[in-house]
Amino acid sequence: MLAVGTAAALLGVATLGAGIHLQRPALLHLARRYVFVVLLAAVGAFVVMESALFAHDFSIAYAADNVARATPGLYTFTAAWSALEGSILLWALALSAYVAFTTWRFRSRADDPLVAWATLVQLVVLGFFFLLMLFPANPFHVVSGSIPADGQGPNPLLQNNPLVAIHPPILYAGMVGFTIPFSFAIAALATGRFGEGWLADVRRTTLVAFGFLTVGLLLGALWSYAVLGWGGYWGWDPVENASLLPWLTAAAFIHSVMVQERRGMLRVWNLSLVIATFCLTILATFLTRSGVLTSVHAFSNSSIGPWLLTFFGISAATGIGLIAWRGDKLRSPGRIDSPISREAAFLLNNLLFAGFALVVLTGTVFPLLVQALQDKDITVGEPYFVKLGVPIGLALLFLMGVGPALPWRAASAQTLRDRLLIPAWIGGLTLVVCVLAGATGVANVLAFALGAFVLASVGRSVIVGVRARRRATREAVPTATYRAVRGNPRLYGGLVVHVGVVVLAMALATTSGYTTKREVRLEPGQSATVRGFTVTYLRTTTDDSAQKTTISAEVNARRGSTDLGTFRPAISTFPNFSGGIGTPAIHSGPWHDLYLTLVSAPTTGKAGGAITLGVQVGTFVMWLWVGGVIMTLGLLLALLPARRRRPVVATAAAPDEARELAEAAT
Amino acid sequence: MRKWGIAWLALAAVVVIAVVVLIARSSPSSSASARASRLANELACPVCTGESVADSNAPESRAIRTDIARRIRAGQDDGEIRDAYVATYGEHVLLTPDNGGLGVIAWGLPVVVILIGAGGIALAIRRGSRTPRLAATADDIAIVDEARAAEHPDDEAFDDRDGA
Amino acid sequence: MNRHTVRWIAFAVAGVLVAFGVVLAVQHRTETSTPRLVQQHKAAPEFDLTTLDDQPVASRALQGKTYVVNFWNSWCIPCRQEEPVLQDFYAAHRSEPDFGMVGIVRDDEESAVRDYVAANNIKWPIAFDPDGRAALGFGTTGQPETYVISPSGVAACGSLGPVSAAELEAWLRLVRSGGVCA
Repeated sequence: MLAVGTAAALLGVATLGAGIHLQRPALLHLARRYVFVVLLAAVGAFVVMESALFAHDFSIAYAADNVARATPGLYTFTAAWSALEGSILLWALALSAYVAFTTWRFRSRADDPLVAWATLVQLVVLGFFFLLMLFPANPFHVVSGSIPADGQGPNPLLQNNPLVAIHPPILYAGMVGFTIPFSFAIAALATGRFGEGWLADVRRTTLVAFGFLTVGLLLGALWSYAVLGWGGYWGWDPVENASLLPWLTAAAFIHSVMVQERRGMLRVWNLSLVIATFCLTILATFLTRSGVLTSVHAFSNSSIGPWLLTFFGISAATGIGLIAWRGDKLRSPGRIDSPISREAAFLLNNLLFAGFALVVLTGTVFPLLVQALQDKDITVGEPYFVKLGVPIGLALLFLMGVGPALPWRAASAQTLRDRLLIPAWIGGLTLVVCVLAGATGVANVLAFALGAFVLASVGRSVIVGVRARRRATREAVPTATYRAVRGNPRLYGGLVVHVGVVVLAMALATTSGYTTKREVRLEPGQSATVRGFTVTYLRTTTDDSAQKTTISAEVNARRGSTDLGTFRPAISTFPNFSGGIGTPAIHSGPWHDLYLTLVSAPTTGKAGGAITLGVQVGTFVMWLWVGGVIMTLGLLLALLPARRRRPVVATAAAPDEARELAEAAT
Repeated sequence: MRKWGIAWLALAAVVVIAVVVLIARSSPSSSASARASRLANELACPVCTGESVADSNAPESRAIRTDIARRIRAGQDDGEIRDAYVATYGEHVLLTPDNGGLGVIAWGLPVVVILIGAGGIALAIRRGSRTPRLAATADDIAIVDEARAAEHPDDEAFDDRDGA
Repeated sequence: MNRHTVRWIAFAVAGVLVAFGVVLAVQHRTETSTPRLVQQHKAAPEFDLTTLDDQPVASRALQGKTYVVNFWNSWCIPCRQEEPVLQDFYAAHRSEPDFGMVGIVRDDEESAVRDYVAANNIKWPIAFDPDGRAALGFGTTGQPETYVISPSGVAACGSLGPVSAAELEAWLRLVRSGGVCA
């Protein structure tokens, strides 16, 4: 299967290469078939893997390492990607799906050299991952020696929670998707067609990949919070950081393309951002699998590291080389006219996102540098990222409010006043209200104030847009709103995403600034109170199953006079693995989250002993997930095709911006 | 200045005052519990992967948290407490790169790059806003002069060509 | 204006990436089983604890002797594996006047420890470590960990992980002759 896939990919590359060079369209059409062969090979390999896992075929080393007879069905299925070789298989499967879909989508343009080059690049990447599976990371590697009677089972952390079924596939769907825009960027550089064509081709795929990556990251945060039991959702773990990097460059790209579409500028930025995003996904794969950085996510060491590092180098070299080759021919003749313009705002936006990415990259990689130069082992943790990242985040929040309100080319003082004065005052008043209410923490309060500013700015945009439409069509408010949104889903989708980001940012501020954490030792029947929540320890129960042994503490929680119910924080131990895995018990409300962990419990046999209970009260935690949902909805909205309906009445007399919005809606 | 409007100035004043109050109120407390909490957040759990002493439930972390409180009560300052743990566990127990030595790269690199980038952008914008977009070249002017002269061959007022 | 700005920036980025690649390629992780305290031959930390039999055991009282400190608990499998080795070692040397041995419990329940000690007839002093202060002083990161302290109070030898009889005997000989482990 794997050999078939690799062969198909390589043949496809060869055919495309020949087709482009010799300019024989027939070859290009032939190459398309190879793409589908690759897809079949990937699907076939995946099916074979799953059957081996479910059949408990322990002659295959991967099955012996990752599935036990006692493993429940769901986790047997997810074991396909719980370890290194399987994760490469999942990557290859997702990538072949994307490539096949893209090939089908551009089937009418198979003769186009741009599409041909893009498909070539996609097949090269696919070929590489299949090669990985053929050589260093073969998932079907046979056990050396005798076949074990039972497998080891998945890592306890990976059979503890159903999230393992969705977090990795969605995350991979995001990371893998950026191969497509990358291939088109390379194609654009190779063919010399670096105008706006390739941008239009990749816009939807980029948004889809970005959406998956966003959801994947948020699911990871949810997993960290709800499953791992340390009370936080983002640990600045090297692998977390590595997957955040492409998200940042992709976010910059999604915004920056608007400048190229509108004025043909920032071409070098856009090409660089897309190439960087892809290279960062390969770097992320490398960091996760090479063992150079210790991480809770790290797969076991294997020889796959050098392969991935080399591929990263090749991709980066190709991208940089092509850009250097085209050189200054890439630059557009357009110029930024004024520092107070939307172009300038987007340019600053690019810089800030890139800067943020640089902060994350430096912090993640710095221990490696110190290890190489001074042979010392150091850690870079949250304080570093927060100290450097928060100012950038606040600046980005500010831009989110200002950017969409700035006109293209140049803004007059009057325009600024009309569009920004009221939202700015709303932000300022929010600041005052927070200060008067006794809030502390400069960054936290600034986040609220800027968030209010952005929300007000978004509200204004929506109101102006709907009003412009109503002036043209005399529709009722709900109809006008619906039609305005359907007329320009890209704009309104983006605004909804911004709202989601604001909610997320405010939740980030409150959860980091206003969380209380305490550890209490309780005898059965004893209670403790933390920030208004009273917890009473009742008893401990032990639950034995073939998969694991779980010790749970029954804890009753109350808030004032309201009984919140009984919660069961637990510790589970799995056979074949030392150490216990804690499971928190969480009560979520719109204002507070009560987070209980079992720090230590009486060992089996002494049910009447005292326990140490971790009690954490967080503020507005739920809004993290709500913000994420809003962002996802906004992305979905932005993916809708625009419904083109011209408003009937001419709007020549309408003020500048209303006309702009009305025009954009058609 | 008048064009900027009282509204903006008033807003600026309000914001500045509020932020100053906020900064004054939020200066890091030097109470024992605040110091303990800050130190626990700045130290890495020696046996975990990347968790801070404040977040981790490992026995070492709990021991360190108790020990921090004891050291604060004994009158040690933040630096001494940090040094004590570095002496015991090594530098990897600090969660941030130190300020000297190689740490300068960690703290400085992103800041320097962002500043250079901002400078580059500022330069590009200045150049862009200064360059007149539709400046006529000498050839363009000559063409116009020829055309005008050709349109009105007998009228000197339309002839701007030199030496014509 | 420099006509090749894009090219220069591209080359600069390429240079940084090459350096980055070199840094990644030269990574090596050194695994060691010698505790940090022993590697640096620091002075052994002070401890003042109470044994299961309510007797005091303190580093001050052991000064001048060559004594062994063993961190362990009742649920760790390597600890159980090394326990017979420790039993024999203690039986062989307990009557020597310049010898001492202390077992300090890490991260365990008192009842479980008492049961284990009784069941295995452990004879050397076993002490609990309230608040983990002794463990913190030694810089332990797990169990079992064993330290051999010289008469002058220096952490001379030690191991992370279970010890063998040969190792213990060799260390005792070395430290008594005034040496320290490499």
